[in-house]
Amino acid sequence: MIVLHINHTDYKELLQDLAVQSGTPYHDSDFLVVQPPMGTGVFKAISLFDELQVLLVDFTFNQPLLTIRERSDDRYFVLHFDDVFITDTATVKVDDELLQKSNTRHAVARLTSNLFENTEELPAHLHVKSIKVLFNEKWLKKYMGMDADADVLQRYLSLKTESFDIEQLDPEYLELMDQLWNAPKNDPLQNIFLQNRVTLLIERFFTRLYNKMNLLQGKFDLSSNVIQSLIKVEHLLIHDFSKLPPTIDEFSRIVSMSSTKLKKSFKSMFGDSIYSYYQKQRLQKANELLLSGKYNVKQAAEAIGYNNVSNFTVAYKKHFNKIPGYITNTQ
Amino acid sequence: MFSFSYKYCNHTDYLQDLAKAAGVPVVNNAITLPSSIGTGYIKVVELANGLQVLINECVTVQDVGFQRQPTNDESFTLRFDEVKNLKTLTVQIDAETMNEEDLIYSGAFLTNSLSEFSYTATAGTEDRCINIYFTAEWLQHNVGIKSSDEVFKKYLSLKTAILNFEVLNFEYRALMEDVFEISENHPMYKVTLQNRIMLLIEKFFRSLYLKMGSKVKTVNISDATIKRIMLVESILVSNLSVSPPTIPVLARKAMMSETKLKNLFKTVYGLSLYEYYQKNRMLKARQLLRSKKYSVKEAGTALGFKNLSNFTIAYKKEFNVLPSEM
Repeated sequence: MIVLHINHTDYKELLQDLAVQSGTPYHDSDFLVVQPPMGTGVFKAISLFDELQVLLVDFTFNQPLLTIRERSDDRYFVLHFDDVFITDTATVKVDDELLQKSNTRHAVARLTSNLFENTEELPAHLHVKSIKVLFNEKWLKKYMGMDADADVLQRYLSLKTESFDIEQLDPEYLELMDQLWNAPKNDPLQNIFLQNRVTLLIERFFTRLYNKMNLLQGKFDLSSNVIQSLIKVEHLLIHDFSKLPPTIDEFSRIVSMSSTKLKKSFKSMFGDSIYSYYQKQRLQKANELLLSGKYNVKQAAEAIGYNNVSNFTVAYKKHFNKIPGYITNTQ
Repeated sequence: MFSFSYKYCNHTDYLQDLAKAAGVPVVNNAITLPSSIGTGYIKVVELANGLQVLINECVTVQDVGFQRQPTNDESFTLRFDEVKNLKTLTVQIDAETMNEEDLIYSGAFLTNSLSEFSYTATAGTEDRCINIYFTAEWLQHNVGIKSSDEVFKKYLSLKTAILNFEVLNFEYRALMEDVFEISENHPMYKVTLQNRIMLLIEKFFRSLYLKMGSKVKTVNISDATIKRIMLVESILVSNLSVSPPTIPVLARKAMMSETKLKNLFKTVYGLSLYEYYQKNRMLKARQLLRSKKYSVKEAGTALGFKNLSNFTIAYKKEFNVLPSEM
């Protein structure tokens, strides 16, 4: 396993260390080509006029990779734009909170800070394409007019791993990222071109964060009683997929809450309506069963409560964009 | 006639002097025009990257004249102007004078402080303008280009011809629209403003380098002709909810043959009349959808689509995503 400590506040230094560690010759201060046996890929560092640091990453390592960014008090932030097809399982940790993702396209924008320790564990042969933007408290204040303690930031960061899927990369993000990768060479305006695309990415992330945090507000307004009830509902909903879950009316009697309030507060806490949450969880479960290799499609369907295999296939396809047979066939 | 003469300087000082001349106070870096001169505001915004931007939306009730004296230190202003209801506009750069009559003007131009610059506009003129002030050092540090580059010299030597050198198309206008519309209370006000201004600058210099740097033969079109093409463009983008006039109608307005109009439009705006119309419409659609105040159906209707699936298809063709995915 390759272990990388990435406490750098200068991406050029990061590239230097990476070059030494991988035994790769390193000629250019802002460009590193990773070569076999370690893996294949490129790392490219860009410094912009406003002292933002940007790292473009496109690599596949031949071994599992563990990156660790330790806690520190100097208030640095990293905005990640990741586009990764996760095969196998990737693990992300923010302090003690753990998030695992398997067999999915992970295309999200997320902000991390060194208020918390961040580690990522990626399986071997994973193709990682990512753009990272590094800035500090000072930059945040000067260019965004935002304090590092600003409410919206604190609330976002306190979500820890839960924040990871908040901001999916849509075509607009992906287009800006493409433009950064494919910036024209020998362009007299290359610097401002890069600068503008990076700041548009940042603007988009934060504008949408403000909008979402206002929506997410509900989550923080829930009283602890309600939260306890919702946790109970969530547990009853997904603890045994082979049986039908209680209906919404039954739930509302169990936790003594009106069905409207239940539906609304469930959505604000878990981000999905009760049914779509249930559906996502059980398909995820089916996927795990299929991956274990011990279940065929029919058995997996039954285990999550589908008597009709074609209904299951349709639902699975809708969620994962491929048919369940794909997994059993490749194994 | 209200007349104001000033020495070329940064926008903050300029606003102070202008306020004094107009007899109004400066409040939060902005002034409101006194009713004797017109209606509207002029404000100065200082951005985090050191830029000073002057933004104004004004309608005058008397003739106004501005005379800028040259200075010895070189600095620049880049202006993006959309002017309507113009009876007569006279612009003078050093010894060259240009007169515009009864037309609209929408263009971007760069002037430097070494030259004398003045203009007078008749009463009733509507002007929306973004004026960016910067020094040569700023340009090098924040855009990465040197004002000693050959392109600058070539461009500035055009004198008054610079006025029609870069006409504003819908892409410029979309950026300007964002500048005029974003609310000062929005938490992302400064960031958005700075990004739009920097995109305007990028776009302008990109075009400058393209047109001036290459050996591409520049087509010689007279200023009067460019004005008439600008007029056609303004008709084309004025009301997107109804079908635009046909090419024969537009050709009559521009006082030229259909073929000539089609060719010249493409030369000036880079797209055919229909492509231009359609692209502008789609850009507007995206803006409406992004504002979250319009449903797909409402946006389609606002842009004159009677059939929503046509709208969806056109949108998908332009942006590669469905309007519902916005």
